[in-house]
Amino acid sequence: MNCDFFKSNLLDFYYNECNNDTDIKMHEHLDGCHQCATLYGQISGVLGSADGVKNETPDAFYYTRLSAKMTTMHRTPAYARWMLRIAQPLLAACFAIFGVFVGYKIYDKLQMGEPYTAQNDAAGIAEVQLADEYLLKADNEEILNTYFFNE
Amino acid sequence: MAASDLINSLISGDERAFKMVVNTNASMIFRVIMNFGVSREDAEDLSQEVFMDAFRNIRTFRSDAEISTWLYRIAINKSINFVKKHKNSKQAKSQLEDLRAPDSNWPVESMEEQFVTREQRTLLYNSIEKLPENQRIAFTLNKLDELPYKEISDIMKISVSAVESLIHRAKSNLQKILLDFFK
Repeated sequence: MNCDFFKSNLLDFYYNECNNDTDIKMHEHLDGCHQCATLYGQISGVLGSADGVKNETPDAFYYTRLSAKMTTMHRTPAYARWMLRIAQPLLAACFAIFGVFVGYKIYDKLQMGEPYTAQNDAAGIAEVQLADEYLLKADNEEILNTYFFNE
Repeated sequence: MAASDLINSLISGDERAFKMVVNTNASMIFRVIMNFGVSREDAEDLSQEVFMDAFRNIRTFRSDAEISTWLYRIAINKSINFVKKHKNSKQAKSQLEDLRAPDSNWPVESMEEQFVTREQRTLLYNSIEKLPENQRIAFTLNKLDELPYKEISDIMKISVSAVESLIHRAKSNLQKILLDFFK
């Protein structure tokens, strides 16, 4: 057996899932190869490190605390729990909408008129052009009246 | 008490029945959650949530399955969601580091040994976390929680041969990850 074969069966060997023949060869290789023995020691240490969890148990007041949580759960009806879950984002959304509304109103007051838009701008330009045309027409009438009709 | 009687007692709000279910399954559920790399404190909270969820939805429980299988399923879903949720947060990382540490009850003799065990455990859970979800669940339940294939197949709602295949692939992938680490 070479080291590559040993490495390819490492986890099966650790979990005792090799067949008899392979198991004997693995043991033989382990006894003769210092490098693989070190590697096996490291990997078996990692795999065996979770064994401590097998002795873990919840603490002594586990049931008391669970019981208290259950009582609270029963006191709060299901619809109230849902309302509580929904209320928070709903309230945040309301505040956001209210903030945008107030901001718009403040902006509007500061601008003292309608806020700038492309449409408003085009309407303004049209108004100025109309005024210019009117003044030109008025000037022309005055010139005609003064110089040609002697009024 | 027969399973159907137990379910009926739970539905009717019998506290003794509830206490019996908790006392029978609490340690097992607690360890399953811890074996997904969840800290001791979080595992206690999560396992309590498992019982609360189970109790809340007891009417939806089909009595053809074992109640423990149902509890396992809830515990696994909760553990995976918890690990996903806290994967990138610093808080979870520090909790993982901190609470994967062995406590005074564990059979380790010195501080140095405790430190080594803690490092090894962190490496093990980090390596298992790299496995695909189904392989991770099957491997954890079989190798860390020592559940038989049949029970795992009931929990995961897949065939026994599928469980065998998942565990085989998980072992092969984990072996590769660990060999790469110690290369």
